[in-house]
Amino acid sequence: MIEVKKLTKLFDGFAALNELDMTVPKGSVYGLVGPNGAGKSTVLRHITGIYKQDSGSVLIDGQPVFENNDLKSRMAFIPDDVYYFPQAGVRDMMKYYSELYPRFDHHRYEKLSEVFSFSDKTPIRRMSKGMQKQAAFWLAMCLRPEYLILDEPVDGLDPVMRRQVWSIIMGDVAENGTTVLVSSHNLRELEDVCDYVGIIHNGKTILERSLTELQDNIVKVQIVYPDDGELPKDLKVMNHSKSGKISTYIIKGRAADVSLLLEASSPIFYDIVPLTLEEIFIYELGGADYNVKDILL
Amino acid sequence: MSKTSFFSKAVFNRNLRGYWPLWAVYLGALILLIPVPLHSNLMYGYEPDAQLLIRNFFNNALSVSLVAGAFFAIFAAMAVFSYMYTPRAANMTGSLPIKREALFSTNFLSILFVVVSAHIITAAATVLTIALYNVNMILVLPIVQWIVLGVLMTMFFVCLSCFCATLTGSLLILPCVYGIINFSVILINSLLSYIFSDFLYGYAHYSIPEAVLWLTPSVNLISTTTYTAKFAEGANYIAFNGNLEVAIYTAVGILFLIAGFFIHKYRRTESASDIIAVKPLKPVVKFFFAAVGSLTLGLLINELFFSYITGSLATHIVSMIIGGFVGYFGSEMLVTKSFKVWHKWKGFAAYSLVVILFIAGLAFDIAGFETSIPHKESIVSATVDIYGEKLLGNDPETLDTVIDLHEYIISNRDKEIDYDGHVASVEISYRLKGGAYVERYYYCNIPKFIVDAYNTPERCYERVAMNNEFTIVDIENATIEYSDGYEWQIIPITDEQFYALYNCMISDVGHSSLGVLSLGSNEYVQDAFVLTADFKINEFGGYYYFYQQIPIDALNCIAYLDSLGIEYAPVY
Repeated sequence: MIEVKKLTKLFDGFAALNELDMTVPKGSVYGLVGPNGAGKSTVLRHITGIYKQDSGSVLIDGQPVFENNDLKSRMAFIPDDVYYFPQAGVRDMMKYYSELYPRFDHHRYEKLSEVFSFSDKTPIRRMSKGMQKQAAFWLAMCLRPEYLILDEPVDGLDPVMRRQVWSIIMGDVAENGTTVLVSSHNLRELEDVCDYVGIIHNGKTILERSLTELQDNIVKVQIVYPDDGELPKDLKVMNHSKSGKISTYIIKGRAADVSLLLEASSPIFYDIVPLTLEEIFIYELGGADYNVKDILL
Repeated sequence: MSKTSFFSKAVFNRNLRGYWPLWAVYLGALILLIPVPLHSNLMYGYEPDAQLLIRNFFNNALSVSLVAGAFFAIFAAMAVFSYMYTPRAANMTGSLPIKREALFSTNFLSILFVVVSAHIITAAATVLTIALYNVNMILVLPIVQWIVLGVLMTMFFVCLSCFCATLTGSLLILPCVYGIINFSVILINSLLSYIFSDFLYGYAHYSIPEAVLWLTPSVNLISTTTYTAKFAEGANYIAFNGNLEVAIYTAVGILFLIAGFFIHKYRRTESASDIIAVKPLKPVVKFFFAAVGSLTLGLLINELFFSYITGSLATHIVSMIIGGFVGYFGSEMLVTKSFKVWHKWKGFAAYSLVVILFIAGLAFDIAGFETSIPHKESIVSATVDIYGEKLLGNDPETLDTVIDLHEYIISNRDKEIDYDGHVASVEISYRLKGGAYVERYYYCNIPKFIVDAYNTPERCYERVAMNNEFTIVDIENATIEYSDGYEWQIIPITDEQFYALYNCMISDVGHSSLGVLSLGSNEYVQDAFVLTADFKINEFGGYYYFYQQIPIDALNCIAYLDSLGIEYAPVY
């Protein structure tokens, strides 16, 4: 389990993380989302032991991560912008990693060469961004990590390779109980794979729940009232828009509870639909002063 | 908890594999500059004398080892610590299961391994070359000594470069930091001397203080690491000098390494790409560059625009503050990577105040430098040097004479500064108990008592007489040079004539101006003849050249030359 408690990090006086809390249950796939500059990459760099926190704690299986070789050897990190040694091919990097990571799986390396169909001797710097990402997955999956930390992992990969990569990762999650922490702006994709979601904004966690709980707790209602009808006051409306006679409400609450209250208000018609992760993200952050502004240019 | 390890095989292998061209260039340089010239000399027979060959070889090997080591150290550090200078590389390395202790020490050991290997391979190539040409010299021990010295000297620079590598987050700044630490003290000393000599009457800057030399390791090591060779029947003796210096620098290098180790352990990964990676160092850098700006740009401005005003308080202050302004805010811009630095004006105001106090302190000589003369009891020996002619000694009489001269110059300071008549450059130096030196330099009129002290009969005799006994057979190529009224003539004289003339000169010393120095005084001593000869005297290790001017009041000499039909007449 990854536990981040009251994590604070200052960069030249600017608080990139401000007493951030986060818990990633063991064996789960956790999606970390947030607007640009929210501090997602900074959190991941603390969890992977790259940065040392100014205050708070970052624990994996109850142990601090920073300068902890045992933990780091059970972890693989694929950053947004992967670094390889100059001149190195995948094979060179494999040799380096295999000396550093005791669990490095050579058999898997050979097997994955069928998936990633480029020569492991070609210098990686000559490859496209997408192929460099593939090389990162090739190497990371051979580390047999217990914790896989991914920052914008499929950015640059073509749709086929995205599906391929996620299938390998989910296979590891299913077979070995790998814990995956993934930061991405591609919420549609996260929705398909994540068990848990954390939303951070301005260096703080504003929401952290399982995806089902999150989707159960917020609904989109399309409703038509007679002229004198109105929405019950007890409902917590996060957003409202109207198109002709049809009103659309984003309401906090379980679908069953909302439905009961709506029934009592005698609408002409109503429909309750679950929100996508992208919609939840938009409406939750709207409440945190981060919304789409109507600007006339 | 994982246990601490100080070595990572993966990093070591990676360093050796990844940067092999750099290691190859270093080894190539050592081979090219040490055994290859030796091979050429032996092959073409330039140095058939084995002793000369050994002398040249070790002179060359020590310098090459030092200079190549100093350059190699910084390039090696730039290579193995390159992961600290881009955020991507720093993040990747930070996420790997390697402790920072292991990373730093493995990087250092990788470089050291290359240094030791390169020295051993070079030494083996040297021994092979000597064996190939069957040179009958036992060299194993000196070569081992050279390896040890070469490795230790290079190790100092490697330790220093590893330390420098941890101070910055920029690959381009790293060699600058290394250069600054290596040479800033000697450069700042020269610039300060320049300012001091502008303000302080008598300030001497013809020798580099020992402390400055110690703080300039490359210069100090190259001047102290020499060797002594003696060749005798059946016993060749080669001893390296400067071992103490090398040992001290090695110890200092280890301290640098330990400091670097801890900085590397605690430095923030996010400092990659920062000019200065260690936060407490940022103000130090700012004030250092302010001082450098004042001493370089400030002095340049003063020279370009105010050079006609010597020792002007106002122009120096203005120039140095302008130079300091550029250094202070320029470095602040670099360190913060921003042009918005003007809000830091308070630090610059404090610096400007220090500059004003410093220059005013010099101008008003608040330290009493100009009037200070060491107490006679604290002086071990004293020297006066006027145009290269020295008056030195540790006897009370000489000390009194030197102190009297010093007091005379100080008391006549205002007269001397404005005096535009006949003056001489005078260097006065005292060696004090405890080993310290006090040195002064003046351009002034020489009082008569000093001219007299220089020209006692004993000192005149020392100037004229040969140091060693000689006979007629030692004399070769004797000539006399004189004016016959039309032009200067050079005519050969016999060895016997030279010997006779020499004896006349000895008898004239004390009774004429022979051997007398004018020391810039207005008393003109007219020289009429110049006597020269070569001597083959073994004690001098070869030939010795005799040269003496004979004045027209040296009566015995003039009478003897008359008897030879050589008569002096001034050229009109």
